[in-house]
Formats: sequence, C-alpha cells, structure tokens
Amino acid sequence: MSKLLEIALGLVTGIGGFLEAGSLATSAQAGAEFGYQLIWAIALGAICIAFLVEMGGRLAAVSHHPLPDAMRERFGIRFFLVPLVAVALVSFLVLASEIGGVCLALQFTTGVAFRWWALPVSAALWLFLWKGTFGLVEQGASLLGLVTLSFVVGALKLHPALHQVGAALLPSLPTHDPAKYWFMAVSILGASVSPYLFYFYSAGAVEDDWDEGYLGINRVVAGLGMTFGGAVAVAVLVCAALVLHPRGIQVDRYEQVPFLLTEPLGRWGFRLFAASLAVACFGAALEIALLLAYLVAQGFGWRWGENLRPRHAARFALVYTAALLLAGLVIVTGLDPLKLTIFSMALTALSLPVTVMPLLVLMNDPDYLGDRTNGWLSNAAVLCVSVVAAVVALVTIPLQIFGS
Amino acid sequence: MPITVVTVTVCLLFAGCRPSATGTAERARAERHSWESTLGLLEQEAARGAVPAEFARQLRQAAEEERRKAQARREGGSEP
Repeated sequence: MSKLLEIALGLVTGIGGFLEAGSLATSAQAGAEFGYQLIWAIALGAICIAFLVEMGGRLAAVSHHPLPDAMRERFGIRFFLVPLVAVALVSFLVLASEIGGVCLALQFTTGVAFRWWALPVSAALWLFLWKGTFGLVEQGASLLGLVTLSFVVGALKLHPALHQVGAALLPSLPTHDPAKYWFMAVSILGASVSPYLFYFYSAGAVEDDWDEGYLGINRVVAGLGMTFGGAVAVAVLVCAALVLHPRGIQVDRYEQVPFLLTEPLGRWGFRLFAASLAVACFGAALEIALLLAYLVAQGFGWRWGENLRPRHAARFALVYTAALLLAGLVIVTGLDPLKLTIFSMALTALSLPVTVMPLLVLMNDPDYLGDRTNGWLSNAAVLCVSVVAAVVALVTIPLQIFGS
Repeated sequence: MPITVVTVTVCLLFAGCRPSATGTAERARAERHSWESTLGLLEQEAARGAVPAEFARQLRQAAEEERRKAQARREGGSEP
C-alpha cells in the first residue's frame, strides 16, 4: 500500500475516531455553560494526545513490543498491575458510556427507552469483534465516523466570530462558577487524553507489523489526525456556544444536545446528530472493548490478535466478551449516561499520571527505543498536562460531587 | 495517627464543599431557566419541523423529570 494511502487512512481514523461520547458531552456542556472560553482545553488535550499517540506508535514500530507487554517486562508484574487496573477501570467506565451513547441515539429515533437497547447493542458490538478483523474495526468504524464532520458543517453555518474562537485558544480565567469551569476543563482533558486512544493505537501498530519505515507516517498521522479530530470537538463546542449559551441552556441531559445540529441544519440536523452519536460511540466502544482485551492478554502474555480466529485466542476473546456484557449491564440499570460520561472523563484525567508515566519511562529507555527515545519537548508537554490535569481533577471532583 | 489525620482532612474537605444557601438557590434558578429555555427552543424547532414528534415527546418528559427532581431537592431542604 502506498505511503500516501496509509497516511490518508490514518487521517480518516484520526478524524472519524476522535469524537465519542466523552468529547461530545464535555464539549457540548462546556460550550453551553462557558461559550468559547474552554476551547483551549480541547486544543491542549489534542496536542497532548498527539504526542502520546506518536509515542505509542514509535514504541511499537521500533521495539515491536505492545505497550502492556513492554511495561510488564520493564517494571515487573507487581508494578504493571497498577496501570493495568487504572487503565482497565477507566476504560470500562468509558465503554459503558459509549454503549449508553449508542442506546440514547436509538432511543431518540425509536422512542424505546435506552436501557432496553443496552444488551442488543452489546451483542452487536460483540458480533462485530467476533467476526471482524482489525482493519474492519479500525478503518470501517472510522470511515463511518466521518459523519461527525456534520458538526463542522453546522458550526460553519452558524457563522462563528473566528477571531473570538482563535482568542479562546489561549487559556483564560472563568467569569463565573470557577469550580464548574475547572471541572469542565479536566473533563475535556480526560476525554481528549483517554488512555484507550494511545494504547489501542500502539496495539494496532503491532497488529499491522509496523517497523521503523513507518515512523514518518506515524508522526504525520498522530500530528494531523489528532489536530483534525480536535477540530471536530471544537466544532461541537462552537455549536453549543452559539445555540445553547445565548439562551442560558445548560446541558443536563443528552436530550438537549440534538439542538446543536437542528438549529443550523433543520430536520437533517436531527438525523445527522443521531447518526453521529450512534456511529461515533459504536466505533469507540469497539476500540475500547478491543483495548481491554489487548491490555489483559498482552500484559499476561496470552495469545492475542483481532485477526486471529477467536478459538485461536480464546482468552483474548473472553476478555472483550465479558467487558461488553458487564458494560451493557451497567446501562441496563438505567444509570444516567451523561453523568456517567462526565465523571468517567474526570476520573480519566485523575488517573493520567498512573497511565502515562510508565509510557514516558519506556519512551526514554534506549533498551527499547535505541536512538529513537523522546526529546525534552514531548516529555515536558505530556508530563505537565498529565500532572496538572490530575491535580485539578483531585480538587474539582469532590467540589462537583458535594457542591451540587 | 496518620489515619486520624486523613479522616479529619477528608471530613474538612467534604464540609468545605457543602454548597452555600445562596449558591444553591442561584443554581436552582439557573436550572429552571435552562429547562424553560430548552422547552422554548423545542417549540420553535418543532414548529418548523426540525425535530420529530417522538423526540419532542421524550424531551418534554425529560424536562418534567428534571423539574420533579429539582422540586424534590427543594422539599428535601437543600434549597431555601
């Protein structure tokens, strides 16, 4: 396959795969509550995830080690259990949120309550993974995910003041409700810097047999893919800032979010919103279920691979089967999917040091990377964002739980 | 000793996070206004055929549920 085609496919994956329940919900809430003011958080998250995705791809291409396998080998099984549990826990909550997102899209279009869709959706996801290949999961879901570009069309049709959007790329202090402002900022960072994104990307690079010849493609795909993906999240925030914020509408339920597209696109806007929510969450749920299987199987040295038949990697298949079933059951309980999503994102931000630090140590180890170890810029950027996000999350999560 | 320190710190943190009466009232007002505006926008969008009738029904039901929850919170004494 030509390198240009590989880059194009990578960019499609970045754009189509960026938006999911977390980034949609946090961007919509932030735009509705604070106008353009929190665009900087999306930009910061996109830069940070671009660095992390590039690192995950580089580790796989140079060392041919999947990330969990390298972590267990480098730090030992006892230490490895800490990031394993942290990533597995937050990814499981995010998986439940994504299933909730698909179910809500189905509820909006059929009128059947979302909890009734939870197990059928889990079963459809399971069937996709059981029968599908890695390419189908990665590229099929991302191609369909291009429907989320309708938010960009919607934002452009609303004619945002571009100088104000540009100015919001620089962080500013909140004009009201500082606790909520910072909580929203860390939730956005948690949604953007989800560990599942770079763990999944790294596992995919090994699955696709990357070598050092892919380092250039990896850099372009990580940099541009995440930038364009971040732009879709910014478009969601812009729509919310122009449709909901002037009317004083806060996003307390997912039912309020379709207005972001009905206002600029009319009846088609509603259809495109339902399709975007369903497809984006379905694609993300596939990747997260697969990531959980990669994480456990690679970490414990089991046979793994989405391109293998399930009977040849039985324990790998068992992990995603169990994860999908349990996450579906969480939604069956009727837990509010929006609240689950927002708190999953804040918890993700809280867990960032635990999930990111081991990767940073590996990326500076010449035994794994040879002369391709990290530069100071990527180390500093990722370290700062992770620590600051975790500290702010630690302060704002209790404020949100007990303050309102 | 360290357990006592942690317990006291956590209790103080939680106590410090308790909402003030003014803050709670303001939030309740903003929430009410938000749902009134949501229903206003719904009527506007429904009138021009931008949202299906089934979805409009769901949103009205969601607004009613949120109104009832807010009322229950007020009656529970957390709001003045």
